Amino acid sequence: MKFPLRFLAAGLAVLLPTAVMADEPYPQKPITVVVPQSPGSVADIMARAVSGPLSKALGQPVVVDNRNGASGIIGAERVARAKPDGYTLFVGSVSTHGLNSGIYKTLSYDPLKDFAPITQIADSPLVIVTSPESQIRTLNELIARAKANPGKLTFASAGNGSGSRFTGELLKASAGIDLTHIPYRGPAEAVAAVVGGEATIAIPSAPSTPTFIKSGRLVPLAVTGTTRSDLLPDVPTTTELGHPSIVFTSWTGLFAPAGTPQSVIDLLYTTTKQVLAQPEVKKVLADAGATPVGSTPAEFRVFVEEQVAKWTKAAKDANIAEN
Amino acid sequence: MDLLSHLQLGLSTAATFDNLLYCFVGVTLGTLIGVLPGLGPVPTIAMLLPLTFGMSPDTAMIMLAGIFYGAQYGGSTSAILVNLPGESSSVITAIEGHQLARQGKAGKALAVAAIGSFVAGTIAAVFIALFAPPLAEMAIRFGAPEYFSLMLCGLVAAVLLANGSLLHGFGMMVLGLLLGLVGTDVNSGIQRFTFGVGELADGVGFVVVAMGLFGLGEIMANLDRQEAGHRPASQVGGLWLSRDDMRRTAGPILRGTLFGSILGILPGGGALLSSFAAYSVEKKISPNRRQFGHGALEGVAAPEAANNAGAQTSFIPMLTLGIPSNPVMALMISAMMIQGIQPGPSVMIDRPELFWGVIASMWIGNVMLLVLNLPMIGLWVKLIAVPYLRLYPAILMLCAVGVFSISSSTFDLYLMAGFGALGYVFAKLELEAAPLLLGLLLGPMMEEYLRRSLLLSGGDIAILFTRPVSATLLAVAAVGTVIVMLPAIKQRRSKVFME
Repeated sequence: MKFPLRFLAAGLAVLLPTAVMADEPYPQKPITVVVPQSPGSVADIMARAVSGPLSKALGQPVVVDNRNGASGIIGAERVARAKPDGYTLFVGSVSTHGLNSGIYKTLSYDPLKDFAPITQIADSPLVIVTSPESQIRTLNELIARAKANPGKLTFASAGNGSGSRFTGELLKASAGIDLTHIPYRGPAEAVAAVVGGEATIAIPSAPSTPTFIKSGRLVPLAVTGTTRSDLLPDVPTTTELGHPSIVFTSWTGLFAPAGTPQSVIDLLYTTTKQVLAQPEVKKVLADAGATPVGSTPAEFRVFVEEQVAKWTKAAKDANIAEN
Repeated sequence: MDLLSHLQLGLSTAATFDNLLYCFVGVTLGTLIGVLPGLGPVPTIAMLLPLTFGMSPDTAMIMLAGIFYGAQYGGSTSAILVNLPGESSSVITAIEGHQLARQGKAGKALAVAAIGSFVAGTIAAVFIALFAPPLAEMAIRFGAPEYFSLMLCGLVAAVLLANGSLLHGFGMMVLGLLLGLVGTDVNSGIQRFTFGVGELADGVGFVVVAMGLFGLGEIMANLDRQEAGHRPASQVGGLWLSRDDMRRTAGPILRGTLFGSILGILPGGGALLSSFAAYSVEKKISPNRRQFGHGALEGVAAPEAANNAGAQTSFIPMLTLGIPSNPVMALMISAMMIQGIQPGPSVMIDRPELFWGVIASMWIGNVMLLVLNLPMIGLWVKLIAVPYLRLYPAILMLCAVGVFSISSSTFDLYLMAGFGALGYVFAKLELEAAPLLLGLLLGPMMEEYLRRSLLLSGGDIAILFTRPVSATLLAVAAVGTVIVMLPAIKQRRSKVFME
């Protein structure tokens, strides 16, 4: 069913004069935003929250195109090879522009060379949670328990190369404990495993947890952001608890293919920044537990470089790289 | 009583003008996409998600739910008429349903499917209203070892499914398991048999294989038969069910509903197994079991009832715990989050009108579906009277559009063509594709659950036998195996079945 829209978009594109003059203002035709995750994922919610207001501001339809699969590689590769004309954009994340560089020996795209960063859209931390049945109340209790029973406690991740896996490995390294890693298909399955008592801890994104915490099915131990989360103001950060190396934020950002004209990048950046300041957009992001960022293209490039370096090293340290 | 006041609240929510209207929109749209091969509820709901921004939460959920169970209704139509199961649940319906269509009894098959789905939907709605919270509690305690043992039962059922020789059924099932190995290994993240093709990293898509083996394979086999002077199902007749048909299908519908309602609750792929299980049981216990494989109404009634009941009870973990049991439920969760509702255990308490409204709307939606679908049967059966020369290019195109709409990848189209060729070979060799599909579905899940069980137990296989539920399921699988083997040992005489 996403098909007709894409057809419509293509149809519109045909109706417009095909040879767009170089000095004609951008955009002249519909813009496609490729989301490398499935509908309903964090990246998808962010893309849809921004695309509506963006198309209003730019005066052209902005169409979200989900190209999910293979940890986002399929979508990223597509955009990396797309024409750098500003009509194909990409919502990248900590997976496509960070973790994947650590997991895959050979990646079919280069997160730094193939992309022109536009702006970071949003940021949200993860939360280390356990079940009340475990009788663990704090991060220190978890560490003490794990030290007393090496390898007996388990951590449920949302998949082998997921952010929760990386965060779990950071926890193991920082606290010097041994937890058995159990990969699940996705974040919801990992949370279910802790609620059902199959695994000791899970590390889901902050917005998915308050309802479980309120109803007493999960106990939060720490958030992995540098500052406390508005959703869980009473939960300390890992840094406060003396583990500053356990920092993981699940971020999303807007990218264009490398070689896109600077004028287009700048226009997209200023427009997106304005969009992120709109109250309705802020509300959608807040409901999804994300903080809007809106950094400049230059700031965002530095951030992405740091992320790629950080997660490549983390993967090596924890021996996550497999492929 | 509490339940009555809850149901009253639900009905009063579901019966507002807006909610009735969007419920109707949802089920109509669902029927439509269900009929169209390949186009499933997942892309449809994803597409419509942004539209629900402006609706109230209960209206949005009622419409999206309608699309989901409406698609279950519609899916059986194309499975019966042109042997094209677009959803995993309609694979089983195609087995007997299409045989009936070829005998000119498409109308009967469609009527049984619609009535079976309606009865199942109604019972399942009551079931959810009565037992949702305690059942969700049980479902969450269903761990990796239990799932593994349940899937093993499923595999035994897969062999039981085969109407021809046992060896053929077993072979096809193993072939399906092998195909299921393709993709990224959940535990290590290593890619297996992907040959560097990015599109294979997530495995071979079910719809791609089903479309190829069933849809394209069937077209080629039909064209072949036509050369030889046969026409595929084109005569129409027996539009309505006789009293005898009703009597024959009542039991299968009720048993199917029971299977669907119970297995549907399990988040780890239980709903999927329900139609397989329902069919296999009928095939063993039905007084008409000899007719199975040659167009048995019971073989349409039971799986249809099971998949519709399962579709509805799969809402239980999502509504009561915020845990999605399938991709559609994952989308429903994001629909709720867009509305600013955090899905989870508190929804039932904080938003009773949403919870009970959605449940009540399921029953209303089922009435709508019945009213919508029964008169359509006359129209559908006319469709197969269209000369095959005109019909098959249309089916071919719909298959291609359907497959492309899922992944937007041309690779999947080539893959479908490849499986089409394979489907033709299977048709020539009289090998049935259903056990292969079940193997493909269950294989990856079984592996995942087995390896997770072993991770949890530190490598000790005893975990499968010491947990009571798991041990019971293993015993069921063992008994099933004996049942499967017995007739094969006793009789080579049953060449009748091989025909």
